[in-house]
Amino acid sequence: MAKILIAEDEKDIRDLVVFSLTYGGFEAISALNGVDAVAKAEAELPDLILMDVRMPTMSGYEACERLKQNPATRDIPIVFLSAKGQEAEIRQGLSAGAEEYILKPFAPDELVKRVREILRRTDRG
Amino acid sequence: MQRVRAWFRSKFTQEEDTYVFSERAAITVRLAAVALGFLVNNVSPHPVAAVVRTANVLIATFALINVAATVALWRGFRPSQAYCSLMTLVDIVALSIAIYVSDGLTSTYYVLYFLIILSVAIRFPVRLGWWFIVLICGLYVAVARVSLDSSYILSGPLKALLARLFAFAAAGVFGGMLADRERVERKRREVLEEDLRRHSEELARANRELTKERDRVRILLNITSELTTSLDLDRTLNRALALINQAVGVKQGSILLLDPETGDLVYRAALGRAEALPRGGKHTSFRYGEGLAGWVLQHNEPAIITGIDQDERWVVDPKKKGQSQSVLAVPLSTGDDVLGVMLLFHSEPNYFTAEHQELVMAAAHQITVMIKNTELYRLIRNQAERLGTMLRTQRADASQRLAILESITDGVVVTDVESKIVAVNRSAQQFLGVSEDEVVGQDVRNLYRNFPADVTDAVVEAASQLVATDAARSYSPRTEVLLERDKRVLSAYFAPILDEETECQGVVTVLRDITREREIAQAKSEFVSIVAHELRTPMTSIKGYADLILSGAAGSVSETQMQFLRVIRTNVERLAALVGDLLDISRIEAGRVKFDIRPLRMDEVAREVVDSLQGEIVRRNLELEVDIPTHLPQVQGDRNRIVQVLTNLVSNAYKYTPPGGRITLALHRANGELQVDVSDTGIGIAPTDSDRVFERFYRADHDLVRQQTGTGLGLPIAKSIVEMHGGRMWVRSELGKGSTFSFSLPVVET
Repeated sequence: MAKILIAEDEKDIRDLVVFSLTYGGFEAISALNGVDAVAKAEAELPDLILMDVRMPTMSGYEACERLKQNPATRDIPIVFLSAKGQEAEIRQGLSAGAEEYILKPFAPDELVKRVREILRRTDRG
Repeated sequence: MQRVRAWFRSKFTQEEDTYVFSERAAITVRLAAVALGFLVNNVSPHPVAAVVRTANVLIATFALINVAATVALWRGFRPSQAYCSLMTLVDIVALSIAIYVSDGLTSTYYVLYFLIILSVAIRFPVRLGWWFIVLICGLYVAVARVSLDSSYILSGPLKALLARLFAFAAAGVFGGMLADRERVERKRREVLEEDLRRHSEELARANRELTKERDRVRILLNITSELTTSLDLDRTLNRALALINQAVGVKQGSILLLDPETGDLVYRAALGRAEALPRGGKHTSFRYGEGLAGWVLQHNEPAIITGIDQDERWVVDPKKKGQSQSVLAVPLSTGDDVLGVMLLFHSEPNYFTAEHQELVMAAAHQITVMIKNTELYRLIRNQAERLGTMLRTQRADASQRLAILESITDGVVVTDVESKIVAVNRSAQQFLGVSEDEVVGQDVRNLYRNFPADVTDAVVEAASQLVATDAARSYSPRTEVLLERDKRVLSAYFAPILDEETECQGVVTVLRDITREREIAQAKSEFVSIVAHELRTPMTSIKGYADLILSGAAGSVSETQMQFLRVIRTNVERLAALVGDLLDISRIEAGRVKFDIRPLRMDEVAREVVDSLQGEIVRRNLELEVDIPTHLPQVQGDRNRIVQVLTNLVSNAYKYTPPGGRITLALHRANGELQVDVSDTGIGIAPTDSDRVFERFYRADHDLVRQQTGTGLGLPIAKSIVEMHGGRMWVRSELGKGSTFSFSLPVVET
């Protein structure tokens, strides 16, 4: 069972994603902000990280860069979830090392489908 | 009696008084002879009384004849050669009788023959004179023969007779020679006198002509110098008229000029009028061809009226009747161009002569030249005044324009076709940090030297394209270039300066400081961005949970609940689309959109859009026709953005076309651009709305429109994107029949 880390400061959305992933057959663990996300990722080594961009204490980009600098977590695919949607932001996210960029609002089943695809693509499923 | 007199006159008189003097002399001699004869006859009378009586009768008769002749000569009788010959004959016969009576050859009266011979020599030509001498000799011989017997004659007296005859002949020859010489002399003198007289006459005539010519030249000189002293037409004409009148000796005259506009004759100068003429003259009732003046105008030749009652050209004014009798009228003309007429009047009939006419014609010519000069002067003065006024107006306009240019807050730069700076206003100097003195006349690059090189390039390129290409002629959209330096943003607009032939003479660049606008727009954009983010977070929850429930992950729900949840989801999606569009448009307005411009194949873009929308089109039961020719040129563009534009147009097409309709996507090259047409057979747009579809939040009032989700921002965004690529977007549509949305993009020239 693949392990997915979801870093999201907004509780409703975090719960939604956790429920959807769990319902979709994944093991979901959640982090409340960037710092928490880096710590959980290093501790749990998940198969994929869903990361909100705007979070308190540490933004998603920064957390992504930290994880990409750590050899242990460098290969974990990271997918950004963001309410911002401009090309520049997407480019910034991808250049930080993210696998994909999913725009809010999203359909939960679509999210699960995308997660599956990425895992298959990165041979982690 | 009359006849006799006429015959006498014809035979015995002549025009010349050639013989008057000699006849008078002859009569004097005859009367002296009569007196002597009478004395001799009566003081020592003939012994026979009868002879004395007869002699007295003859002497008396002879005396009477000569008295009569004297009287006749006294009364102007001019004897002819025939008369003189007759009288000479009478003299000879009378003397011969006297000699015969007084003892013939012994009479000493024969001496008187010499007087007759002398008079004959004086009077007659030599040939005629000889006949008289022959006659005298014959008669003397006859008298001698009668008085003496022949035997006697042949002795002593014969010698005397012959000697006397010889003396007669010699006297005749000598007298004739003398007379002839005298006659030749007289003839020569007469010829000389005649020559002298003729020459004197010729001289006198020439002198008279010269004097006349001198007077005429003097008059003309006076008139000419008078005419050149002033350009005041009325004054000069009056003065010239006075001089002419003085020269010709008349007291009344007038000058009438033709008014070219009305064809009326206008009194411009008058002499001898009771009242003075107003300035600019007085209109008369005469017109071209009417009256004497009209006649002169029409025929362009002078006219002399010797008596006004006899000439029908003269229209007699009943009030002025009897004032003038003679009129001289001459045209004021140069060649065929008749300007007017000059009239001179005199109270005597037959006053004007050809010389008057000649003089007045010469003066009239001078006056005509003066009138023309005055007209020319007036024309030149008017022209100069008009030019002066124009110049003043232009100067005023120029300074007004300069004041406007200097006072406006926008920067204005004028450059010529060679990109040399012609003018820079105060605002532009401030914006660009240059002074007018440094840059005017310099290359335009100097103006933007404080900006980065790429900005300068963009500005110069935009301006030079207007000059170089036909863009100036078909110039419609304004090219905008942004200049940024030290957080200050200037927008530059370019407009061509076209002359009358629509040739580009230069470029006006208008610079506007949009720093503040830009700051406001960016603040707004950031605000929208924040709001959008804040809205998307709750929307994510709403949409996500609704989706979860709808997917059945949270347990079963009733069909009604499902339906309501779908409404929630649809509206959240709509809200999400609206937020996306709002973000787009605010970023476009703030100029925060950065395009990734690179050569683009529009056929690929079109196929990509068709592929992504094909399913929806089929689902809506619509037919799609794609017309993409091969060998299309590439365009310059941001792929994602052009896809966004085309997607917007195609999705609008299927949204607003009822099932069964057709959508056509066509690409073609037009006017150096690539044009994309998206046509549908949909509801169409009313003509009044065709411009409004590009306005923000505009949605047509139609059921089908209301049924479709839409923000009213898609088309304005698409149009902005196309225009930011240097292209255009427009629509042609007919209500109820369909629409064609088109856009064009500049092609990449290879």
